[in-house]
Amino acid sequence: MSRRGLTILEMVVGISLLSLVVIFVASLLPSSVGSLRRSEALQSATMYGMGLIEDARQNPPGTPFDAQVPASGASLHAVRQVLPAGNGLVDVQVTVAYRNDAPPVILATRLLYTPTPTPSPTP
Amino acid sequence: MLELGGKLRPRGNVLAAVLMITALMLVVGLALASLSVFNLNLSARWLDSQQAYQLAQAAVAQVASDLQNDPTLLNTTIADPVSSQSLATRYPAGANLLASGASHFPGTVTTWWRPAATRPQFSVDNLGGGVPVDGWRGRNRVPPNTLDLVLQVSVGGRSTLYEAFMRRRWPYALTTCGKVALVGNMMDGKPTPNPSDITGKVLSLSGGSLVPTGDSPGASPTTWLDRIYVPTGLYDQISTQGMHPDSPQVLIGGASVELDVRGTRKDITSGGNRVDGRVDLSDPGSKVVVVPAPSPPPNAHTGGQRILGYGFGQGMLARLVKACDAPAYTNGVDLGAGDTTPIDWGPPLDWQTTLLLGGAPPARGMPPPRFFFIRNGLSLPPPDSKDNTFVIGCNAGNTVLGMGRYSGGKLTMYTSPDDLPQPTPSPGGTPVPTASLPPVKVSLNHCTLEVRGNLDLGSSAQLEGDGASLIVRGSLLLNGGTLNAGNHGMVIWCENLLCNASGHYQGLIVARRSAVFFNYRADPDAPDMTIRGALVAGQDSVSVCRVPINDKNEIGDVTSMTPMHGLLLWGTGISYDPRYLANIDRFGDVELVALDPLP
Repeated sequence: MSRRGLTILEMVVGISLLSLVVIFVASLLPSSVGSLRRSEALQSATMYGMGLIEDARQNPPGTPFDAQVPASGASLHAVRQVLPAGNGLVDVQVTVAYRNDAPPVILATRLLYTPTPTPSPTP
Repeated sequence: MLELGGKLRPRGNVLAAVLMITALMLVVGLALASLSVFNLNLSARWLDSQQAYQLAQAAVAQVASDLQNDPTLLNTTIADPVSSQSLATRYPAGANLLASGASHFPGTVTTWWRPAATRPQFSVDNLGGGVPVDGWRGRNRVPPNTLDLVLQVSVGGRSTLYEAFMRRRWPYALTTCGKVALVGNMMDGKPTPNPSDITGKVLSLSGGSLVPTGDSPGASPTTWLDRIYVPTGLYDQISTQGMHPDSPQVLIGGASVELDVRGTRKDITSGGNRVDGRVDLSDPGSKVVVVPAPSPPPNAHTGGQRILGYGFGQGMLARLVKACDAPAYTNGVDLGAGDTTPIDWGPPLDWQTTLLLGGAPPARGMPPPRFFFIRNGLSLPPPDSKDNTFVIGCNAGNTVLGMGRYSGGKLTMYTSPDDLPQPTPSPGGTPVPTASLPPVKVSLNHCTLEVRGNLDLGSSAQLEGDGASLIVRGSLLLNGGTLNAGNHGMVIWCENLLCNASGHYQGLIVARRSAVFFNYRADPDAPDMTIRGALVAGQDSVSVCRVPINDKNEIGDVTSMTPMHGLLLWGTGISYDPRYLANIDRFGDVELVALDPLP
């Protein structure tokens, strides 16, 4: 085999392999980018949900936070619900939808609100 | 491979290079792809961990609510960890702590109380204990009045262990069901005390919180404080400008500033009366008011957050009051007449009819007593009995020691022993020994003294204690002198308290009906009255009068009475110090000390 032929064959094989790999890697990029974006959105949604729960934890009862909460970002859609659990307890459930193709983030906790003291009955 | 007769040239180098580049690109591409997937999984795990943490906090809130609403759960002892009334029976191993409303949560929370073969960790309930106990971390690792709660949170197919330490703690430096007036450093040209200050949280509740037994608030005595000279002009300013009889308020002598309830914190930092801590007010109409002061204008500030609408439950106070107020405070033994033993310690003094020794332990939660010793004024020898709870019954106006008298609008003060009325001889002709009253020194060391009546220590008295409890079923009057407590702390429980003294008190003071603190300093260099611990006071009004005193120390007629509503702190400092409140921590609410994941 001549030196040139070998070089051409090498080139053909190399380019073919390189093309295949480039195509394969390129096909991974969209899903990787999608995963990264989804991960970022998931973190944002989690952070936002935690913020809503902490907001409920810090505010006294009576705060009308059972309504839909406007999200800070256009891609987030959050709903916070307050469900009475008795004995001064309330369950706070936050649902944050962050992508159409992903299940929403659901965070829930139980808070203890001490009611306003009232004069004790005279026995 | 090399070509013969020519230069050394590599063969297949291009292919090798391409293969290397290809492999490198493949590795990089796969790494990027796996990293993105890893990042997504990491975010999902983080979400799961946050969900688990929120569930652990939900379980803590559930347990705190159970403890708050069912005090019987606090009776658990280590010796009987699975009694009929305990957290262990309410939440046995494997039971979901969030069973009620379980559909609201994306997971479950369980706990267990006994050591298991496969689980080295376990929960320990020491909320009712006064000493440290063993936990899964080792010996004596669970502090008194503490719940070591191990939680297994299952969410998203994963299980995480959390450990929560919940402690019962009395949270307030000052608790009152009325108003609080901080006065001091407001009189021009007089040796006035330093400003009053409160370091710690303040709770001002609606009226009547400390009087749950049905006693009429108006039934409190109005004469025992009347002979105390009070510069009422200053108090008039406060009462007319700031105080409202129906609303709990915190009044701070100082600049003319009214603070918004939840508004901007306004600090005047050049000193003066101050509250450094949160002020919890139960009445939405309550305010924190800084009252205008006479010249020179002192400064005042309240730091921290003021919260309306909610605070700690009234049940906390009710439990404290009932525990110390009921006969059961003597550990189940009623110190009535039938259960006490008179002690013959010589001829009785004129004010004394019976001196009773009760054989019961001291008040539950009080320091363990050892002996009882009163020097000087009473000159009683220390008893050799092992029992060390003492009850002093008294007559003569229901006052143990009397230094003054108020009757018919006439105020009489005794300023020296010579002024004391001579004792009336007994019918048998034997003169009753004269009580050598001033200076009275009452020293209580690791004991409990109960006085069934008023305890008037007179002027220039010294009241001190260390690891002791003083229970006065009436009014405790310390008009001049000193009040000190040692490093073991002290507990004073009384109906009404007038503390016109200086000194350093460490511990708890409960004045069930009313309390007034003035700062008596015979020596201008004497220290102010400072309290390290906590003060709990009722809201009964205290009547004071302006009395003329001439240069012969003669007192004129009482012309006017000024009711003072609420708690007055005059040149008195209160700083919250939980080290001296261990005895009432069990009456406090439960707080979360720590919540951390376990490896």
